[in-house]
Amino acid sequence: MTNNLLSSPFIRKPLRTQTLMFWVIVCLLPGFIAQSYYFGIGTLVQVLLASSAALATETATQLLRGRSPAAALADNSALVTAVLLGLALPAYAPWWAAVIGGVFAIAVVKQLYGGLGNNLFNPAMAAYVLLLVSFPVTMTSWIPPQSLLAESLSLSDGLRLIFTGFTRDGFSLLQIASVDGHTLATPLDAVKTGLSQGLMTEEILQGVQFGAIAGHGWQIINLAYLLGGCALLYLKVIRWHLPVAFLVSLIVLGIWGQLFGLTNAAPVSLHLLSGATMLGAFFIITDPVSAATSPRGRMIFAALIALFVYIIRTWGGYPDAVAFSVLLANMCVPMIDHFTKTRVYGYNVEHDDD
Amino acid sequence: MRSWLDKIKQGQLWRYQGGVHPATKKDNIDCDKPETLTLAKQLVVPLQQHIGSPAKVCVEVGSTVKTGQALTESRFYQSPPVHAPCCGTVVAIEARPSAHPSGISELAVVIEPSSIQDQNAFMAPLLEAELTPELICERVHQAGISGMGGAGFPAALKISPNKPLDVLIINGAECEPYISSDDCLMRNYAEALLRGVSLLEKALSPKLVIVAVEDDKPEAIKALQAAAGDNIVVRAIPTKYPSGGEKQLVQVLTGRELKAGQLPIDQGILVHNVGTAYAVQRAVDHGEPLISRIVTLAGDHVGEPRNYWVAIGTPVSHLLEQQKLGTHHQAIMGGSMMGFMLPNLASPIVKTANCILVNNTPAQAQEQACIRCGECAQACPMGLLPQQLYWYAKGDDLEKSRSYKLMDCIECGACAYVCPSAIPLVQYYRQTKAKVRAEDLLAHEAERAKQRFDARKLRLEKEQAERKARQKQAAERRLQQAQGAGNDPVKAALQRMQSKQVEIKAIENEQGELVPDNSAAIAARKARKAQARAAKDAKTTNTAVAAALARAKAKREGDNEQSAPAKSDNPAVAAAIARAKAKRNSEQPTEAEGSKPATSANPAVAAAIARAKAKKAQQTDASESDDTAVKPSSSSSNPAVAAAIARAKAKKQAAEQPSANAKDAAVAAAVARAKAKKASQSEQPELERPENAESQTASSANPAVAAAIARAKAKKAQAELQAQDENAAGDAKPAKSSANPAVAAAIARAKAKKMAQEQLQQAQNEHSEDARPVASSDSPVESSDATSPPKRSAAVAKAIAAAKAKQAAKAASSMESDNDE
Repeated sequence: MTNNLLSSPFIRKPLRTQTLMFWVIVCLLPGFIAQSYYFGIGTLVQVLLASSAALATETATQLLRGRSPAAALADNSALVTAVLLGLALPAYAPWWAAVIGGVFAIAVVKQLYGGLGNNLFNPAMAAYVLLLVSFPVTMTSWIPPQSLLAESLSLSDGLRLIFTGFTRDGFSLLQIASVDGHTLATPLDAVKTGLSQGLMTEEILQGVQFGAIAGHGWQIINLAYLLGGCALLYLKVIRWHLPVAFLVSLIVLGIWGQLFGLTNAAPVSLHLLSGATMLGAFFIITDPVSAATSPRGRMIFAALIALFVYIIRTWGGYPDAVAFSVLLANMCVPMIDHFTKTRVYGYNVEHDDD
Repeated sequence: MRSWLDKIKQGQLWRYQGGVHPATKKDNIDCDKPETLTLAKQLVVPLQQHIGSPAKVCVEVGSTVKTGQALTESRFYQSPPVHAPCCGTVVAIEARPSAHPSGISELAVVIEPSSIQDQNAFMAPLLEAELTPELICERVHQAGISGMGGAGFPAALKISPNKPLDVLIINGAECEPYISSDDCLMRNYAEALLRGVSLLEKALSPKLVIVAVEDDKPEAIKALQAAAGDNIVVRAIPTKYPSGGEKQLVQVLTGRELKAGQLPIDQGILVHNVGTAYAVQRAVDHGEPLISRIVTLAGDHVGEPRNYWVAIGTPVSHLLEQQKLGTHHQAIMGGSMMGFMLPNLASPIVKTANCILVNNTPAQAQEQACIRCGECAQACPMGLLPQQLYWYAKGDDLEKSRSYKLMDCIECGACAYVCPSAIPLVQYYRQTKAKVRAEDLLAHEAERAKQRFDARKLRLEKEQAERKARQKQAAERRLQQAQGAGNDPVKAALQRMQSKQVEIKAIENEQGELVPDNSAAIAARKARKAQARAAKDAKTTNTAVAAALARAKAKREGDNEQSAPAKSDNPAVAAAIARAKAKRNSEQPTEAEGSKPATSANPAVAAAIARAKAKKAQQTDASESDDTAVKPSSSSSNPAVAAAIARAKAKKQAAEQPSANAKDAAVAAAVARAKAKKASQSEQPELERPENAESQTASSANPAVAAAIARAKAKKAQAELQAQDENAAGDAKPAKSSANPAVAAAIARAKAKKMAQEQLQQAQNEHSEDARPVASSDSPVESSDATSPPKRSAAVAKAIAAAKAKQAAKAASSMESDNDE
């Protein structure tokens, strides 16, 4: 007979935190593969760089806090943060960007707030924003999808670009990213620039970087993330409230913008399948720690992000807006939580039949 | 629109928020007719197996008990009794490890079963015809039935509601994993169970009865539906944990949500467990109390998970032995969601124990940080925010815990079940709940203490204000006095003191001893005693007696003339004293002038005359009686006679009691008597006689004796006067008186009395009325009055004197009567 007396319940659902995190990473695979297909080795390198930095930082901070690093690493949460950051970074951003982002996300955004569960902001997005604000040019230097490049980037050239800034032939990233001598913007950038130049949406969408639905490459990547997101839903790792509310809100806003003929409104399809929309919908805004808690609160939270995304994309100075929007919404979470408390059984009861 | 009840009847089901779907793990549990477990070597029956208070033990160590015999008794429904589950001997009534998560020891009756189990002490079955709700209720209580679903609420308390009942729900929604005891009961005892349901229906008269069973128990549903009549609805409800919870079941079946703090009955709904219904049937139809129940034995280590009929009090270890499970295992009592780990396998099976689980000891999963995933909030059937509650529990924020309705948590465990971070949420909540309760208690006590303090402060303030007001008033009075009288108040007080001292001194001088003047007090006390006695002796005491006794006493007290009349506030005493004084006054003239008519005119003298008359009358009535003329008098209808007799009696009593300190008084009395006799013999002029007597009396220092002598003398004088008037009598008397002076005196007295009779009448009436209360107390008070010995001795002397005189009179009675005729 042991003295190990446990409290009820004596059975638990097998789904554990580390499992949840693991499934998140697994479900990122389709998107990662798609991204790697279009942008080459860079994505993987960024992910690895960010992960190494994040895990090292996690270990260091746990040691500094006098806690077991193993337990913290085992929950996979730092890994998820790092992977998300790595996927969000431009594929051939310099190595120090990923390292700075990884260290910042873990050390400052997560551990300084008390570790897992206590952070106010989404670590990956906070790190992304830090980098975006600090190194705007670096962070917006997405090369066009490989299929649009004049000559495809070799593995070694990719690595050289990341670690030295130049390919073996001495091309810089900016030079590589130009097609026919023009720097090729990302689809969202192109729309923003085009609209600001008074071009009609149809004209802009004629550009080489656009595919059948949205941006060339990006549309596939987004669809891959959507696939992974559906898997998450299926696995009940996430619940539908956040992504559905986010996407529906974005659609509604897009339609509203088109109906009212906003001159600088991008089409709904572009909103949905460009940039980090799907990655954000299923993998970023669903970070439970920094999201609202109640289902209703989460829907409000997601809708709020969608609104911010739409506003920033339409009128803001940044081409993509998921990171900023998430951080802004994170700030609103305590307020949302406060006003969306669930009705406790037995309080404010109304009977329809008496 | 359909009414609420119609909706329910037609099978509408509602949903409740939250809930989880753990694996039921019931498939491999044998739910066939359960076998009855053999009796253990010892059965431990805890006194308290219910919510409420334990009943009183009614067996002793060593008592032989029969199956079903009550071990405790109580007439209060909140204390259902427990019963002997078998024949045997009570070997101990002591604290034993209880079926409680703490394993704390609780008082239990330990029974050693006998080898032969052939006797029972069941109650008589109740006949269908005589069933009334009250009778069923009482029987349910006597059978010790408490809710068998888990909480153990006394069933009798629950079936004697004072509110109208719409829906009676019989809870067969056994929603916890593993547990299948109710399933087993429903499958195998459907008819008896439904009979129990109809008994409950009879006791409660609801509009609708629903037996609710989760749809993962198709056999049970089938069995119940086959046995159910038209009036009982068997309803399958979706399987979800915790649908078996009272609030959740009510919501699923009726759509009603109980407001915080409400009981189902507040909404016209009542929920009973199927096990309770079955137990009711056993109690009513068979007279069998609740002494056994179906228990599921299951879990990873149980080879053949199955159900058993287990006697209440059977140690869990005995149950485990059935499956060759040793005591090294850990057992869970109750289900895997809400049960608790037994710290001790000696703990008994109690009325609420529906399942024993022997599982692999789950590795204590390390508690991880909450990631605010919100799964708990989705699982909570009460709509709470468990992650917030956990947060506040960790931070010991009781205020926030309260505002997030921690106290409404039903501890179902759904939140902890789904928590990916393996946080033992329920444990946190239990601890915080306990803290909240402790804080509430503390707050309550502090509130009471504050109230007490405030009340005390208020009282003290009030008292002080009053004191100040009094002081102010006194100061004002002093000022007024000083101004008004122009007197120094201190001087006035001193003067008052002085005058008082003078008064006291005077009394002391008269008494001759340093005895404070307490005659008034004594008189008052006597009066009080007299009142009491008067009430007691109401029959024998009449007005005349009272008058006579009062008079006698008054005479004595009259000696303390100065103080007594003034101080006595008792009108009766005052009257007596006044009378005595009057008598003295009448005697004094006799002494001084010898004027007899004056005496007879005096009412006091008249009274004395009346007394003599009365004596005479008594003598004529009771002439044949021997030396005591007392007894016949009781039959006398003449109040005057009665009075005389009473007086004589009192005097005689007093005479019989003289003690050493009364000796001198007795001597004095004798002397007085002698004097009196001498006086009558020599027939000297009255003028001289009293003087002699007076001087002698004075030397004896006993005023009472003096009074007696004086009275005798006065009487004699009267007699002489009478003798002159009445010739016939007078001729005979002188001759006799020379022979027997006492007789002569008596005769003379009698004559005098006769003459004064007319005058007496009204005076006596007045006296009797005034003196009655004091009257009958005379002799006892005299004998018991120790505060003033001189006085007492005087009284005794007087009494003796009077008695002697009376005896003398009696001796002559026969002659006298002859003369009168």
